[in-house]
Amino acid sequence: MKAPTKRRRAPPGPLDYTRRAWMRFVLLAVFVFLYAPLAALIAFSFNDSKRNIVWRGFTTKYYEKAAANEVLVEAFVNSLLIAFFTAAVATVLGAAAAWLLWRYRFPFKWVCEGAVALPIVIPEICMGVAMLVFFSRIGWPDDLPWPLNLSRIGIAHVSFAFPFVAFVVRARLASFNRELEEAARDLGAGPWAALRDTVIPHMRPGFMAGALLAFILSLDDFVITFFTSGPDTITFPVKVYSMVRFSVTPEVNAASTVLVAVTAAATALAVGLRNRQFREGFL
Amino acid sequence: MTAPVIRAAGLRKRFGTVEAVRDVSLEIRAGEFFALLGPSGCGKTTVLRMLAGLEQPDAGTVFIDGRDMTGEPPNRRSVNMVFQSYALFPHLSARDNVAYGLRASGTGRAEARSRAEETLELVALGGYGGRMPDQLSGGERQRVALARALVKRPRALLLDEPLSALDAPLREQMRFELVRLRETVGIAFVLVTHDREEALSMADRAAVMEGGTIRQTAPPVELYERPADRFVAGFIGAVNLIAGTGRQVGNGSFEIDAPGLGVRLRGAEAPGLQSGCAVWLAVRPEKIAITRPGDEPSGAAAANRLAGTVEEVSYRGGLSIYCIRVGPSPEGTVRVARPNAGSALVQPFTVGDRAVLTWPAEAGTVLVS
Ligand SMILES: Nc1ncnc2c1ncn2[C@@H]1O[C@H](COP(=O)(O)OP(=O)(O)O)[C@@H](O)[C@H]1O
Ligand SMILES: [Mg+2]
Repeated sequence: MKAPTKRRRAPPGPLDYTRRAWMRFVLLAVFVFLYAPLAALIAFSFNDSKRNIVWRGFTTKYYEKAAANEVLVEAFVNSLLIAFFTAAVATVLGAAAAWLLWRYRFPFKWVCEGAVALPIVIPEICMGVAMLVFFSRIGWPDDLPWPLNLSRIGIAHVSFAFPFVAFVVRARLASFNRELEEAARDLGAGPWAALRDTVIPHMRPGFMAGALLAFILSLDDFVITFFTSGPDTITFPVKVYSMVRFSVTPEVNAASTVLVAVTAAATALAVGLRNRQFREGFL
Repeated sequence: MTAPVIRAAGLRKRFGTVEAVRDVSLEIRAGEFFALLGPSGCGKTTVLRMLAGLEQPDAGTVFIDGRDMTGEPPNRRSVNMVFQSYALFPHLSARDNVAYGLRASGTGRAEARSRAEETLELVALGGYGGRMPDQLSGGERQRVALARALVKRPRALLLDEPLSALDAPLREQMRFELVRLRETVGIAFVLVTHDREEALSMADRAAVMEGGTIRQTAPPVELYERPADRFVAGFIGAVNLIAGTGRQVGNGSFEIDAPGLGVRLRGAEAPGLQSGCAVWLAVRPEKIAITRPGDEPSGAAAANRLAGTVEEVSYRGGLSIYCIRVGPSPEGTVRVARPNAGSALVQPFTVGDRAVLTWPAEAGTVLVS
């Protein structure tokens, strides 16, 4: 039998980026810069050594140690609680703001649009100071029982996270065919029923993306939290920061790895939800 | 005669500086196929949306079934709309789309479901109920949109350019199906279209719109044979317009002095004509007989006679169009359509031939505007 004639590979086409050597090198460099520190962090969280310099063997004891650190666990629970609260409230507020700005024309609408977008561009440090001044000025109580003592942080987080939700939902609304809402009205639905049956199903992927964004923004926020947290309302990033000030122990690595895992899981969930088809009828 | 299903009087609508609709009045009779015909941007969609209640008129009233519905929202009006984009709910199956209107007005689940299935069968989509809109072809989506609007048994169905998104063979077929569907369900259809053939072939009556106003409302034959003005004459079909001065001569006839051609022509008398006013004689190309000099008919069939030279021959398959120069001015050409009854391989006239054009008085319409 004749051996198949050896075919020469065609030269790379204009869009075959990954077939060019220098392009591969650039890609590799990007990935190294992005993920090497993270990989080191995760790897050294399993390092059986107090000083994070040389590899001394695998262990999970620093996870146990972190789990036994009551202040750290409390901070972690606080962070999760605030993140869920922020995601829920910011999604409702952001979606409502996006819908109002999309649906209606009113005087000084451009002012409102700018005001909603402002927290995205304002430096966090300014937001933090402003929040600090605001809460002390109105005399927001300091001595509320848990979890109400987290309310200052929660409110601050909602106020900087909801514009992001509004942004995402607004982008989604831009692709809405208004004839759908009109068709619902024409077929007998009242204004609210038409909204519920046409606009809201269309916005749903925006809710998902917005809620996730708000969750992650809240979970890893440091600056604004730093200014609004009290002596006994510590969150996870703030606690990690205070631990790092003494030394970077494998315990800090372990705690940070958990945070990375939670964030990655939330992202995976959102992507999964988006890919799943929403197919629901009412019959 | 029965009362009109829809009566609109003096509708006006302005969008910013654009006067989209100005003073539109119309009547839709029970069970008729009514077409709203006009070029793009003339305000057809706006009129239809005001009938449906999706747009509030700045002035004027809309009566549905004799009741003043001007301020009522769309969900209170017993008319339903088929949107140009079909506007099917993408997250609902075909069956749920059709059942939506019933459910929204409080019909029970089981009844809504069975009536949805029935209506899908009516539009030849039995068994498609479980499909999602993105699993349907363009034609099938349109049928779902039709079923969704029909399922509520409205008094009139409003259709906005329903065939424009379909490809040509399907469009042809859907024309017949729409006419048959209207006969089956027996309600009035109001069709908005910019396609004159669509309006002529489907409608019982049609209104020709231009610049936000209705120019003429009449059955298709009348629009074609007796257009009210030059715009209608030209929009409904190809037409020769010969300018001149009119003179009444009695016995149903009207004479026109056409100074450009140096002849006197006769056309059917129309109401409102006065001696001495500027008029146009409108003659359709296929109503003019073309003959060689000396062969022309005589008597009433040759009440109008023009002689000229063949300037252009354009072969169109079933017929040929001849451009005949009958006068020196730029408007001095007349278009004649002649069916290619025999073999078209040898055209009876070629460029440069002398020809005589004749047509009877009643073939032309005298227009004053
Ligand atoms: N919502 C609107 N806002 C501003 N202008 C509009 C709106 N709807 C229609 N128009 C204008 O009104 C005129 C008539 O539009 P339309 O009724 O859609 O015409 P048609 O359906 O005959 O093409 C057009 O000039 C169009 O630009
Ligand atoms: Mg239109």
